[in-house]
Amino acid sequence: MNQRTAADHSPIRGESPRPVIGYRAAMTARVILLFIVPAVLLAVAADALVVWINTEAALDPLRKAIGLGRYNTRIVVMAAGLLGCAGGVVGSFLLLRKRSLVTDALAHAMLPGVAGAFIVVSLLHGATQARSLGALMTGAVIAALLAMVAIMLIRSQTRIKEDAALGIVLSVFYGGGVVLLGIAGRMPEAGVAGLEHLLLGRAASLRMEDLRMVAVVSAITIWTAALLFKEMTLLCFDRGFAVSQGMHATWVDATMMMLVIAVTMVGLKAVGMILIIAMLIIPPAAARFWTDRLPVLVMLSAAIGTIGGIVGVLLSSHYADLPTGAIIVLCTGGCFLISVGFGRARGLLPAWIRRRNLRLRISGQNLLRALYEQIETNPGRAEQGVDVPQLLTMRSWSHHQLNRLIARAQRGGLIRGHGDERISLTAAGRVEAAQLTRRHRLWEMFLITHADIAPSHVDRDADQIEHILGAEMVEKLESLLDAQPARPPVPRSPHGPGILEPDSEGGAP
Amino acid sequence: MTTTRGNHGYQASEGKAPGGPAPCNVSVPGNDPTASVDGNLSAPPLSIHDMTVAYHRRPVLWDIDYDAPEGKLIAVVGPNGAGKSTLIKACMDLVPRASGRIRFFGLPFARARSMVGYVPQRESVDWDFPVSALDVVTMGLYGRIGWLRPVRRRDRELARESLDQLGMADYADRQISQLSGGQQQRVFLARALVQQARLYLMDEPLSGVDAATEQAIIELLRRFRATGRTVIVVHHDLPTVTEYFDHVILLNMRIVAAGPVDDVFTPENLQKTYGGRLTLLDEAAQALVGETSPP
Repeated sequence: MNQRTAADHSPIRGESPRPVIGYRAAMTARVILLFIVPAVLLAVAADALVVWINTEAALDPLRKAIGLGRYNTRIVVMAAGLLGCAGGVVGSFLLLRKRSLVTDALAHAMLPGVAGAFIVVSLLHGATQARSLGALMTGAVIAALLAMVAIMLIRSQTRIKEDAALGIVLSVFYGGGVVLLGIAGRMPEAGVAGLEHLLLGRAASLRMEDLRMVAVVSAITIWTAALLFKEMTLLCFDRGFAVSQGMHATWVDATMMMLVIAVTMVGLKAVGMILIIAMLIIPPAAARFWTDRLPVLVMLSAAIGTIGGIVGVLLSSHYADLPTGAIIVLCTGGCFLISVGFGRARGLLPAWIRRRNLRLRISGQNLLRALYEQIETNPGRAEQGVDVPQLLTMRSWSHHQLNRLIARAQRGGLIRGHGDERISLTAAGRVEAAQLTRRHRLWEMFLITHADIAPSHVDRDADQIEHILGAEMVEKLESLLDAQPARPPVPRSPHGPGILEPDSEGGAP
Repeated sequence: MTTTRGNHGYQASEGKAPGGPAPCNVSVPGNDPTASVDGNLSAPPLSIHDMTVAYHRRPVLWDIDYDAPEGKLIAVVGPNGAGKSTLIKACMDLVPRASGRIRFFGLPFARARSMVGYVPQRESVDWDFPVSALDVVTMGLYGRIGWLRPVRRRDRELARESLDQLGMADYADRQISQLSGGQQQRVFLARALVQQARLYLMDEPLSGVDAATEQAIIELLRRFRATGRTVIVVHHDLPTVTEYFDHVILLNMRIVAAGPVDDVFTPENLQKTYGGRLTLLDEAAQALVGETSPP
């Protein structure tokens, strides 16, 4: 344990002792750098933001055209963009921690908190006070925390599984919230507080003070996620290992959930508690289709969230009366659909293209090998060409397929047509075909001599593998089979001298 | 390298973070005459006293007493459900203990963390996670890097060397889902290696791996032993115990026998561990549950 201390003072290990004061100073500098500097920058950015929103005259026609002409729209666009960004960042970790549904439960649990806070404050101080954002938000956070504790207790103290625990807590809290909402509705001036809008959100009602809150929460959220990036990554990937390393996993977990609650809370007014979960889940889920790297995933997810938020607000401001929250969710959903289809890493279309390319390559190689073997048995054909109908019998391919393959190979400069259904290999084609055939036969020989597979079966097995054999594997095969390196001859087919077994018999397509 | 990365692991205040000796095979803190430890250097790497663990009131481990010898490869063997993984997890506070006292090198786990490395079961994590093999190995250094500090190039180089030692250098930048099971296990071992611990607890590292990986892992374990480290391995394959390990713990809810393989790994003890004689213990446990739960 305290080898460290010992090591510090041991000149033998060639380490300079580390004075405590120096360490403290370094830590202080780090804290200033990591917290105070960003805070100052944030304040400056916020100022610029307010100026931008307030500037009416300087608006260029372009911005007017896309709907930023109105002061209110500018506020809502800003808020939705920030919210989408923060939601995308936190949501990434939430998705990886497999906690997405917990968020749904927490969001729903905020209803009784808000309604309860309204009732309590208006009883104590009158309805005008009860409209204050601070009181309602505090209620929301308290209720969400209670819900989280309830979920954890049910999970750890009983044998009820997580999904059931979530369902129970979500519905009970929501039910309680609806009841409290009913009670609050009978109080004077309840409508003014706009409680009913918290269910589905009403972005148009966002004011500058709301935007300020969204901005602060988003900034804190994104910054915290950046600072704890490696801890949250480790926690999501391997909690047990994180704990064994001495990380206070519970605190990191709690911080993560607090960020989620904060984003959900400020999102209530804009998107509503029923749909807010979409802003946390959909962007990272969509981003996952594009990348396999976590930092990229987080940034993409933030970008998708931001774009979804901004586009959603602009669309809904064009078609007034459409609920903004729902449109935002639909926009992000659109991004998701596009990602499912076209995502570079896991999208359906790229996967399909990769499969198709592989298939085409394999059939092309099969064609070259078939030609090579035909010429091998009858060298005269190298010049006069091989009959296509004859090739047709060698494998289980249709005439149409074969013609398309031949056309492809011709475009690639590997095959030359002689007219009247005769084709032969070009010089480049001959080199390529010899290599392919060699690989095929090496693999066949390997299977026969080292894997004890009957000669009548090796052709089919070799057929699958040869197309993916890398240079390294071929080298290994060569040394294993004592084949000569450097422009080696193609070994003879193990299926008997000269006579080719009809490939179609065991022929893989 | 220790000079720049100082006293700031996740528990800096407790003054841990042994500046890592350069990658693996070189100096081991335990053998370093200049290094002294808070606890007793002659204390066993792991000492379990009177440990009982229960899940939902049903005992999983009963009255475990064990002192691990230093510098040995120790197998934990027993039937399914014998509590092998639980034994390891309970020692590291990953599973709550009903009772018992655990000491690592004479220290409670919280203060001995930097000397203890952990290799969880491969199935315990989601291999679809968007990180590369190198990222996973780098995680072994997070404890040493500490809060609010970024992973530096030097850390990644250490991780890369560690991967290299397990023959995985070519796969460093692969996304982990593209690795085979054996390769994934090697990544986990590389992560343990980079930790530079003095005691390793490994949960079934040899289960479901190919022959090449098994050899690579065994080679690594022997290198650990050669540098005076202790490795406790949950093991499922009885025929290889004599070949791979020095000591063995035969476990079935309680320790049936523990000690050098030659003395302890006998047919009688195995019969006791795997045979039906322990059903009485199990029945007693059932009765206890019946006693304490409502009808």
